[in-house]
Amino acid sequence: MCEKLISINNLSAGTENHQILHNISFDIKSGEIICLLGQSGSGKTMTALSILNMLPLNVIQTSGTILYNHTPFDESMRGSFISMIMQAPASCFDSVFTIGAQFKDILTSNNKEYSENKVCSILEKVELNNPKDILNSYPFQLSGGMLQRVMIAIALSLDSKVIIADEPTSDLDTAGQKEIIELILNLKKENKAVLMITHNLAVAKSCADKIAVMSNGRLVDFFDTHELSDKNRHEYTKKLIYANSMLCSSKWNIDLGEYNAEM
Amino acid sequence: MKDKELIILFSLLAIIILSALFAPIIAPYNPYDADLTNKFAPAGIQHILGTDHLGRDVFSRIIYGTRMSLISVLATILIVLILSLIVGSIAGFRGGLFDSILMRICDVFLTFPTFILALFFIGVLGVGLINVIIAIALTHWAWYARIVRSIVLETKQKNYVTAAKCLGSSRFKIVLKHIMPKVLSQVIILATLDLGHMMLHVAGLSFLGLGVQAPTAEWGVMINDAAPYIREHPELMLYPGICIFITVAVFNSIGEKLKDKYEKTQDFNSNESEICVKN
Amino acid sequence: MIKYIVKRLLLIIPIMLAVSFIVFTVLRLGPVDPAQAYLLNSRIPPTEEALKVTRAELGLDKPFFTQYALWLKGAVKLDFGLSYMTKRDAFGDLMYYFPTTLKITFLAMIIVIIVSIPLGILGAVKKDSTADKLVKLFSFIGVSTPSFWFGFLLIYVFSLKLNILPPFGLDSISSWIMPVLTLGLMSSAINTRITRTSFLEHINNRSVWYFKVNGMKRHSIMGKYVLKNSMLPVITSLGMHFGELIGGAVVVEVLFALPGVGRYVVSSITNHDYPVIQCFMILMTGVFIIVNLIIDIIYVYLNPKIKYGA
Repeated sequence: MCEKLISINNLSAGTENHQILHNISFDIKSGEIICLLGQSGSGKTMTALSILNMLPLNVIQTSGTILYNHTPFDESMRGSFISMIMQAPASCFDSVFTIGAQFKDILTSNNKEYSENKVCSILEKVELNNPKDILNSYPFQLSGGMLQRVMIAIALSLDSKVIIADEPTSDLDTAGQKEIIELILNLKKENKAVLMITHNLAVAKSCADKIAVMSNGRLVDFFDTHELSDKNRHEYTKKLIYANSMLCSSKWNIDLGEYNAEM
Repeated sequence: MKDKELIILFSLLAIIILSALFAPIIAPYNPYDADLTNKFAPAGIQHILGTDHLGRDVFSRIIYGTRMSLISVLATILIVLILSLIVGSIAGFRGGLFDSILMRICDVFLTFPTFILALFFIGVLGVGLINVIIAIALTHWAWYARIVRSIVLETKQKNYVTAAKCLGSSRFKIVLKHIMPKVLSQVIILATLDLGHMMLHVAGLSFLGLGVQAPTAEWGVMINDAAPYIREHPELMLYPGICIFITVAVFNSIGEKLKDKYEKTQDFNSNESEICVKN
Repeated sequence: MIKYIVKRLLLIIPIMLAVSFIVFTVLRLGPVDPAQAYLLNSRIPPTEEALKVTRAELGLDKPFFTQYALWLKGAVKLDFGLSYMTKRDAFGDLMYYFPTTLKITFLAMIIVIIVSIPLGILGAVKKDSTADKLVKLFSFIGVSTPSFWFGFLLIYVFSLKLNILPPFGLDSISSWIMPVLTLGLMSSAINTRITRTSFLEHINNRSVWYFKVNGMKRHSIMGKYVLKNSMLPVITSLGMHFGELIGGAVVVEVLFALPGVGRYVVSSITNHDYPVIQCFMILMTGVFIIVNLIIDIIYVYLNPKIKYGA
């Protein structure tokens, strides 16, 4: 059940005169959501880029290996083995083609059959009503939340084993964030491995199985989510938890009616 | 590497400007002294680039031609800048009816193809260098006025201008200290980029016989003069052409460099940390 | 879409009215009195008496707006009056030369498209390679070269030295080659640069990145998404360059002694032949406006952002 899909061993990377990543090692397993937590500039994005083999031109992987199902990287893995959900979806789609055309091109490039019915049912699965209208519309006609769902739908249709999600909730309001997180939790049911990049501890806590904390290019802490409040957490993690509890400590004294149960 | 390029560019620019300024000192002969007994003299010690069909010294004519080209193009750009700064800033600051009337006027000017409109103005004003300068200035100002207006409008809404307003700076002071420098720096870059293009227009009109007139030492005229003798003496046509080419190229490159530099500072100001990496 | 086209077509009417008004008024504001110009062209000494007769004959004694209305009434029926020089119908005269000018302009436009778009894309796709450097060199040289001088160089090399192309006139198909190349050089160079810049800009789009990480092949991203996006500014610039080309055609026609409007118009400019100048302005500007209208329609058609009013 829990097969090791990606294993990262001693990964280091950097530019000519500045090291960005220091000896990162962890595994990504199927049916598991790992949250990569850290401030901006902590190296979480660089880690994801290394996994995708999409490092910027001036950054080189200096040491370490990344194995994908026990084999080294191959271009054809993008899309079919790993797919990606990005932040700020409005700029991730092309504004002169319809969503449907882009959906289709991504699928056919990965040798996946594109059938409108199938795609529509997947769009419905990510709670997009009127999937036909969505396919016929242009990105600027849809909201950020809708486009984020389309991205998840694309990742689902690609049926890749690993999905990397880069701050998929950062541009959404709280209600939208919750819905996207639920969709990502659903991915687990499909036995996908999800690597989610976030700087938000609350988001990580709400969906991750494991949390990897990064700071200054190092993986400082890696633990199961239920061990979050464990005593021997790294200092930096404790700081994050403390900061987060400061912000969220005051309970809202409001009658939420039917939502109360969820809170 | 980069510095080398800049050094070459600026030394070329210096040569151009110096030969325009000190033409009478540099030129070995009077560019208008004809000597029919010595026409088409080959290049040599006597005449560095030989003589033309009237026995005039080509090198001296080229040097004096620099003057004509620079003066005409600088005069043109000056008129364009003054006109567009006035119209563009009034439209941008005042807004309202003023703005829309001025912009409609600009629109009308932009409806015409540039060179055709220049021909038209020469048709109205008559042939000659001054009229060419006016014609080219009149055909280019509207575009600049629109740009000045849009920069003014944009800058007006910038935070630091609002801040200055809140701190009680006078309107005049805000315009002078915050908005005008921004407008000027951008417009001057555009003007530098456009100088070469305008020079080509001036030369083209001279070639048609509508600009600078025949005996004057001007590059376009020289090319026109040399045209009938192209078979036997192609070099007479080559020299002034190369001069136009180099001058235009120098202006274009400097403009390009200025623009790059400006855009870099702009990028620096609005730098956003983003996952999207150049690939 | 149809609504947009109709709206744009209707807009042509006020634009052309404004153009005609400006052309008419500016000519009247000029330092040369039309009656005087008429007499000079007819080689009659401009005595007070002769001027008076001519003014009456040309209707110049009527109030300004009446004159404009009369002229406009004629212009609508394509009657722009008689040329001062030839005493023939100005419109008829111009129409005799005009097709050649249009042909040269459109051929040059085609050359610009054929040359600049592939070169610009090549430069962008192979950025910083030798090919890109050559592309940049081409656009650098093209932008700085005076077109008429380039034309002379072509004549010298291909007509006088190699003797493979006719130096002037339009006797055979090969006669078109040098004029069209001369005319197209500058715009090709500028558009190459615009295409290259625009393509490079879109290569760095986040959407390209997104497509790439999700397995789309480079050639299909470039050939479809980046291409269509980067063509939008190029199309607008082509519209602007049509104006440059139609103006440059005058120069090229004089240079290669082609039977276009060039020579005729230059002599009417030097001779203050107002009816011809007016007709010329209306014709050229009209063509420019129509071409730009077509280009705008193509642009809107290709750009859904405008089409769906976002």
